[in-house]
Amino acid sequence: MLWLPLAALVLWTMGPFLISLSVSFKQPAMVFADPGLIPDEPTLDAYIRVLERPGFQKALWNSIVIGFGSLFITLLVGVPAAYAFARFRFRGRHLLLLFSLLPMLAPKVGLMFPLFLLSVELGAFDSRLFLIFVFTGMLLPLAVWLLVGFFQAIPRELEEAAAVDGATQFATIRTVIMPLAIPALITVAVLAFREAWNEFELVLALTQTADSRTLPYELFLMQDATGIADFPIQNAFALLTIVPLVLVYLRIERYVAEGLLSGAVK
Amino acid sequence: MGEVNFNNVVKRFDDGTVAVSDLNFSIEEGEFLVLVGPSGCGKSTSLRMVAGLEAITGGEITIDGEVVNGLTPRERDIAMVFQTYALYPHMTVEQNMGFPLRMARVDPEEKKRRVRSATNILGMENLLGRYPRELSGGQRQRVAMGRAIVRSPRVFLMDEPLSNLDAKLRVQMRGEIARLQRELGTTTLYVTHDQVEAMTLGDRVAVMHDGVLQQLAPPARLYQAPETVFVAGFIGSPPMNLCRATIMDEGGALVAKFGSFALPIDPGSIEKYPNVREHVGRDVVLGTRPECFFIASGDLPENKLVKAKVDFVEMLGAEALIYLPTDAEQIDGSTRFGVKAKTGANGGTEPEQLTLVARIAPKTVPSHGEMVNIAYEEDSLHFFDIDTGRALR
Amino acid sequence: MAEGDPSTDAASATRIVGWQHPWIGYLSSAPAMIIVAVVLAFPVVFAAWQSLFDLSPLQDETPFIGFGNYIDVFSEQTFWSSLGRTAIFVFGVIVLGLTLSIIFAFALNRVVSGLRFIRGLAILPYIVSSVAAALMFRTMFNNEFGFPNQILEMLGFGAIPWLSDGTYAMIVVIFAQVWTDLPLALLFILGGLQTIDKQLTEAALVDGATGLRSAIYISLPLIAPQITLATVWLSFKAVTSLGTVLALTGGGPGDSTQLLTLEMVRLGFDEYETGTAMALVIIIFVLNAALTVSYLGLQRKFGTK
Ligand SMILES: Nc1ncnc2c1ncn2[C@@H]1O[C@H](COP(=O)(O)OP(=O)(O)OP(=O)(O)O)[C@@H](O)[C@H]1O
Ligand SMILES: [Mg+2]
Repeated sequence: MLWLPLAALVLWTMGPFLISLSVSFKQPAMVFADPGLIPDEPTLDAYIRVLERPGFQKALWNSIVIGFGSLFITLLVGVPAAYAFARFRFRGRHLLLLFSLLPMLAPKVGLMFPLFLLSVELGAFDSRLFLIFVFTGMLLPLAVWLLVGFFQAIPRELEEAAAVDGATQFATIRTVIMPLAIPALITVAVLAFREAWNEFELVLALTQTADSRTLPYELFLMQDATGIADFPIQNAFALLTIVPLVLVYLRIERYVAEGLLSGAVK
Repeated sequence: MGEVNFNNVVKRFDDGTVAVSDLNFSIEEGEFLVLVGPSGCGKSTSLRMVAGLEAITGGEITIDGEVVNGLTPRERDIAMVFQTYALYPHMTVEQNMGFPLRMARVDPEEKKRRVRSATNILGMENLLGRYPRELSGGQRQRVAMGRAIVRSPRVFLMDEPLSNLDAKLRVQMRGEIARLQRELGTTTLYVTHDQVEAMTLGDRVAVMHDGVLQQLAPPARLYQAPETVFVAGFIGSPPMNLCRATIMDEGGALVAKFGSFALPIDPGSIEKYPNVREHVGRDVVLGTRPECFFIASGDLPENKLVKAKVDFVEMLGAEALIYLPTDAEQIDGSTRFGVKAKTGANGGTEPEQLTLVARIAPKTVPSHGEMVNIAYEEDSLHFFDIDTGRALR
Repeated sequence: MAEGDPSTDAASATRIVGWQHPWIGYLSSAPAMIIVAVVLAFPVVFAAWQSLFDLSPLQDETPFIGFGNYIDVFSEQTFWSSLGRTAIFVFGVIVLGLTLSIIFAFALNRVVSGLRFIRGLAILPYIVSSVAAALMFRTMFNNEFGFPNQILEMLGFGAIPWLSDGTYAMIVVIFAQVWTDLPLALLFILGGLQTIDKQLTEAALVDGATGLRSAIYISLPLIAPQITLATVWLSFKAVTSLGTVLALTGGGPGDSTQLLTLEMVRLGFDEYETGTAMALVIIIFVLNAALTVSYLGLQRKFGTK
């Protein structure tokens, strides 16, 4: 009896992937002529055409720049904030923490329009820099939330031991806290990068030209641009945007699982 | 190098808790001083103030004459062993032990040499490449010790370093710590709530209660001449019997009457507590040690005997404990004279009656319900002021 | 908690001497706070404020009109019909999403070996963007070569006009939405199941309950909080869904999948009705909050303590 729901789960999850994969290996004309799952004449033609498209190349570059840019700033700004919330005692810290987490609940569709107006007002419409800024704001609550929990889980004694061992405040953070935080940082980074990489609504609202739009928007536009639906190229494009994330996901499971702290206390 | 002074040190936390009040004592160069007391009495707080992990609210702490109140832990040149060991989980044993040297920018060759020599002292050459999670409890303890000694600090601070070990290992490591400290001659402040550890390790032992220092003395003196009722009740196992007694002058001989019982006060005891003479006709706290009782043989005069009925007996092999209910009022050193007692925290409870405990040789063990005649050794009675709890010296 | 006077509060910034300047706390959190405020908090306030003005770009004046925009929105037939479609969409997503995530979670919870592998698969849709997912579903539900229709024809049924019929299009959109958002809902419920004491379900077995009955009467009530969480998540994502529907049907055929969010985009970006679009933004916020509160209320009323 157990196999039935499990088979359904696998079919449910993998079905769309497999069909997409199958179509992406066909010639556009063969999609209708050869509807089978295994293509009769598999070809990389669709992938080559995607990779050769200037629109794809630009969007890929934009996605990389904006994804890593916002990820970098998120960590740069989020780590000190999370550490402060987790360790320092300052007036109003609970309120401030709440204030930085609560906006997580603001739906992005609601932000599209006000942010669009703001970008026009600032002359930042259709700018990658502004997108990086906006994405950073979008990623921060998640990052801060995860990191605060993580920093709080690091035993205080480790920092005290470092202080007694002659480490300055900065050296403690560099030599003790950060190395221990690496698994958490990687987890946060991957989750945050996924958000940025897949973001569609805000890119739709804040960009106009190929100079700044990212992969999801480019993919969205390509549906119209290809005229009569070119299914192989669309699916190849979609799969190419997914592959980097899949590869990263397969790698981080290790970090999440590893109980690096197991030997820290007792 | 390594003389530590507490001058009127006070610690008050944000929530108003006074963890340490007016602490005054000094740890001499090379001395092994143990801070002992019940849970929550402020031992860790005192230690952490020396380390610089806790800000000092009032008074000052000096190390080698230098006031360290405002100094960071780094500037104090001390080393500390934590109860949880606090080993850095991402560093090997070698890196853990080398960490203080790395922070002091000792050059790598020298660092290596000093880590090796510390490892040799502690006998764990084969563990250098391991991570803390790959070590047993005892090995972790040793690494923590190693991390403290590599730097040759002015002072070692240890906060219950043995409490996470099992009983047997604890005894073994206790011996090792004592040996190590003797060899290195480094001033050591050691915190524990275990009186056996305190008595075996300390050159001198400081007993704390409710943030107040009760007595600072070598172990033997602590046992033989407790300054306060609290110390009397805290040091020794089973603890001293403490009860309300009245000093009577019966034809020139002093007698301590407690409930319907009485013990003669021998000249030796009066010599130790001369103030007893001033308390004739008044109430005092009488302390008797279980191990100073013995079953009387026939030749003792009647007035030296205590006749009591045995409630129950605990046979421990080498000795036996007998429990003798009395009608004397029991005095509890930890609640009656502490800070909390003064604020009335313990007010209004019915006084309990003392059940006298006697530790006797196992050969002549009486049985339940039997009447026994027990006597008390000379020179070993203890007397304290009933109001202040201080010894009547 | 007593905060004490500022000086002692400062003294215990952290407990370590020398780590005690309170401004370090403010300084380290300030950049993050500012960015979040500008990107997330400001737009909400701004939208609420702007929704009270008549902001058509064709006129020079932008007069304050109070709830005028809201009245405009409510008096439009298109608003009510898109609200109705959103209701159907959200309801469909919750029903399908909860059913699947509960069934899948129970199955995953029972698997011992190989669990990591299947769970890993189940999470895959989480990393697919809404546009890519929509595209994959467009391919899959193509009327001519799509697999559902191939199978239907093989079984002797007629092909279904999945994407050219309004009702079927809504069904496909619901499927695509659930596909992308199922992983987290599934993980919530699986997490709940894994906290259930094994002894409870074993006791039920001993008492004669079969696997299915024990699941319904023992396990389900115990994971009510996680089911609520999954509901909140699915509902939140459905109410605010835009990319999936836009890329899959664009609101069509006709306006059969024109949801509130698409309506907002149309008003704001195509018709430049800034004030009304802002009003719609606020309405979506409120709708979301109201739904979340009511799920929590339902759980309090019917869930176990
Ligand atoms: N950060 C703090 N804030 C408020 N009160 C505290 C704090 N730390 C300790 N205390 C209080 O100070 C008192 C002394 O604590 P301390 O840790 O020094 O006790 P201890 O003697 O080490 O006890 P133990 O043997 O249990 O470790 C206790 O009453 C404790 O509750
Ligand atoms: Mg302690």
